[in-house]
Amino acid sequence: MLFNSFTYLVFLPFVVALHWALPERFRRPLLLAASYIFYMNWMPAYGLLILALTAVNFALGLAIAEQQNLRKRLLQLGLVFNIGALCFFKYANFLIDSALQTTHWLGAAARSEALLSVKFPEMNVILPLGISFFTFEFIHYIVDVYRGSKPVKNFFDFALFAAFFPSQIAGPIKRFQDFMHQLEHRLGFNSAEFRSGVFLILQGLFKKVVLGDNLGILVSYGFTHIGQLGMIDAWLAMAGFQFQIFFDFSGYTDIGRGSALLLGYKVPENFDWPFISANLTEFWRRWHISLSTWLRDYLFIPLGGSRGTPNTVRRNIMLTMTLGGLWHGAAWHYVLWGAFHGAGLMFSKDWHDFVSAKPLLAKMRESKVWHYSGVCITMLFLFIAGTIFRAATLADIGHMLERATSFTPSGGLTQLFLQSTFPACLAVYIAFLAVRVWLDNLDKHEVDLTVPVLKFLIWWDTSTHVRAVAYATVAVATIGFAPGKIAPFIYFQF
Amino acid sequence: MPTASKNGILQEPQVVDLFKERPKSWFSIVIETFAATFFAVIFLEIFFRLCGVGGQEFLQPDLEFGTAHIPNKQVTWRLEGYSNNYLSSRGLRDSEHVYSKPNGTYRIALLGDSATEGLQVDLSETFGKVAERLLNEELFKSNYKHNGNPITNFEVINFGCSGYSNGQELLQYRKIVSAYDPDALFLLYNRGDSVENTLDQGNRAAAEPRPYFYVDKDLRLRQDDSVLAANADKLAPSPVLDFLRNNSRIYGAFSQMNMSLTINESRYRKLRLFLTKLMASKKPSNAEEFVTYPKQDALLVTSSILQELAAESHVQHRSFCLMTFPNWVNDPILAAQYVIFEPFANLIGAHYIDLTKSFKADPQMREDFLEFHFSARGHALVARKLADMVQRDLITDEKVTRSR
Repeated sequence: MLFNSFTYLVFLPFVVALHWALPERFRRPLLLAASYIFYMNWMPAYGLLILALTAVNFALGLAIAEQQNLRKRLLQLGLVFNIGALCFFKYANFLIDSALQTTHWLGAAARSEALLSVKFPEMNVILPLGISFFTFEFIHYIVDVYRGSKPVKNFFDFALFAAFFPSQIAGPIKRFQDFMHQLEHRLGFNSAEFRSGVFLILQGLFKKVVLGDNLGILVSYGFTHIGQLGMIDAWLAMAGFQFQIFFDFSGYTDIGRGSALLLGYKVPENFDWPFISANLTEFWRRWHISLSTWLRDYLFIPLGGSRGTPNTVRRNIMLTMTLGGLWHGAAWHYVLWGAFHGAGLMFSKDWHDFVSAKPLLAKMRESKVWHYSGVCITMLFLFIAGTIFRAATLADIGHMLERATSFTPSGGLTQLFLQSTFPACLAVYIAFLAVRVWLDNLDKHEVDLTVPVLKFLIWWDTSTHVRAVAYATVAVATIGFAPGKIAPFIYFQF
Repeated sequence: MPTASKNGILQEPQVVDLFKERPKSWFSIVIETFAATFFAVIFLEIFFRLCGVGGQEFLQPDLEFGTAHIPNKQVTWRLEGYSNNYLSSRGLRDSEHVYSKPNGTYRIALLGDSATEGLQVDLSETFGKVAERLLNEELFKSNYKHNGNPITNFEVINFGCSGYSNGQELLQYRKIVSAYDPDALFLLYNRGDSVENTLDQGNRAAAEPRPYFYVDKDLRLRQDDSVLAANADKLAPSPVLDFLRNNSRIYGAFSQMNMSLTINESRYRKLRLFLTKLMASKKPSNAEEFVTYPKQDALLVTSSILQELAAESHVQHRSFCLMTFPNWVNDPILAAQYVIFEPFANLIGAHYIDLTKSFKADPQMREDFLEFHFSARGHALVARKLADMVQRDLITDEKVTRSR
């Protein structure tokens, strides 16, 4: 079930209405049932998969907490189980294909008919939606229990943590401690939270449907007509993809967070203005925050983190980012993307250390010119990295970069861009962001009562009916600007 | 409104108080809601118009044809491809044309559905317009004649309309196209045409309101207007809906959403079908209009329609050419139909262009198509084929004849 689908439009209000209409003791079972219906709407059989993984991890959590002598073995067993499940469903086909290609390549090199004629059985495993996300949540759970956190004693609560539909398919990757705290300290209906939820859903739909999907049409054209692109077209396609994935994913997250708020739950933020990052390290603190913190806590730090020799630290960074790339998809260009980011992070760290060691450079680093140069360079890096992520083949990466440096005149993509509604939509979004930033920075305590702005804000905040009309206007605008075809969320495939 | 402190700055508790919801009178709530809605509608209409959004409405109900183009409507098409053009004052997806054919003009009429209509590309890129340009460009090099009369100008008129069946095209020819006195008729046959020509009598309630056709026991082609009659109330002009359709971009946006959901969401489609059946019109008041006949062979009916078109064109000394939409996805049903069409075209005295072969010969065939329709490249290819057919088979070139 997609968040931007007709089915979800019916599903969510029904679940929310029923949730608040029922007594507290029925709400969690309702949410659990709704989460499983949400998941099984895609493929019913895989509901058993998530149930099985939940049951095993629940039992492991209890066992790790209770069996002091065996806890390390149990943790290892749990890791093997979860990673094994992920590898089987996500990487089996990829590993078989890669092994086959390697065998044939060796056969060609050695001119061996035997090797060239090798065939491996085809597995054709269907990737369960969201498996990358909920296995990471299970791994976090058993590791944290091993590290001393109290396990969840109620199976249904744990099942709800694992299957919670607002974050089930594409994150954010939740921490069970936060979620359980919310379960244990349920408050009643909060109108401010409800309003925030509605606002977030509308914002998310606008970002996903209006900005992300419209940009996706242009990006798709660019990447399927690489040979016909001029220089500006190529940069438009490269930059377009990076922003498309941002609008798509952050839009999804907003809808998920908004849906959770409607039910009285808070789900962590996943994006914090990532494109204002002055370096790659900062970028990864602002982009897909739940994944980057997971990688930091459960991969980077256990590997040694920033402790050890410079080469050890570089190894840890490279390994973490390469595996992070592989997490995104079973294909070599994802691995390459991860390694590219790893290389960038290594360079970023080395550069930071180098500058810190030079007093003059360290002083220059405080300047705005240095800061904004860093923002531009980081964005350039991201556009190139995005090309690696998006391109259908490794050869296409080279072609796109070649078009981007070709100094040829603009082709069809620039014309398509100007004909599309995207520039207008972007202008509206930027205007909205500017107003939001201004309002966030407006200290109402310091503002004179007679200022019209404050009068308007007071009237706005006390007029639910007017806000309802405004939200309906945004919804109609989203409908109007939506492209003809409903596109799935990019991160669904992970 | 609380009073400000001495220096006009509020203290924290007072600020919090200000933002608390206070009960308003019903009257002020109603007034504010109306005012907000009014300004929101104005804002959206202007904003949508400036951005070219919600301008995809181009069809209106029609008592005779089921649907017809809205005359003079500006259509900004974004569902697949892109175009931003006006429909003509007579509701053609074309520039303005007069009924009376100027002297020396060789006029070609194009019949078909959305593939002929070509909303997915700019008007200048549709195969009709491109063919017209190609033919006129070659006038200077040639000495074209038709029936002994010199040709000084080629005109191609596009009568294509989304969703039209061959039956509707036959009616269109009789009631509209003939008035333009074309010299040649080109019909682009598309996937689904054969099914749309006949009515599934067991599913009348869900049938698209359009004229249907059947072949009686004497093998004569008959028209079944029962579905049109049953939906007469919906097809009759409605001032409010017509105004919204022609002018409101918000209406256009919702209509576009409806179209998009119908295509993309199976559950939405099922719900619509369920509601359509639930609200199905009663039998037509005139019981004679509710005709029953045996289940029809769709291909037989389609062939009869095409035969009728060919016969009527020949009677009026017009050439008739059947073109088949390329079967580039290797649809076996379409492939089986096309095998029959070529000998059939010969039988009824029609010219025939099999576009499948031409498109499959193109090494970059995929570039010739958008998702369901021709791209600009595809239209150009069809235009070339059309122009070649006209030059080779329908007119004579005295320069070529003399040189032979």
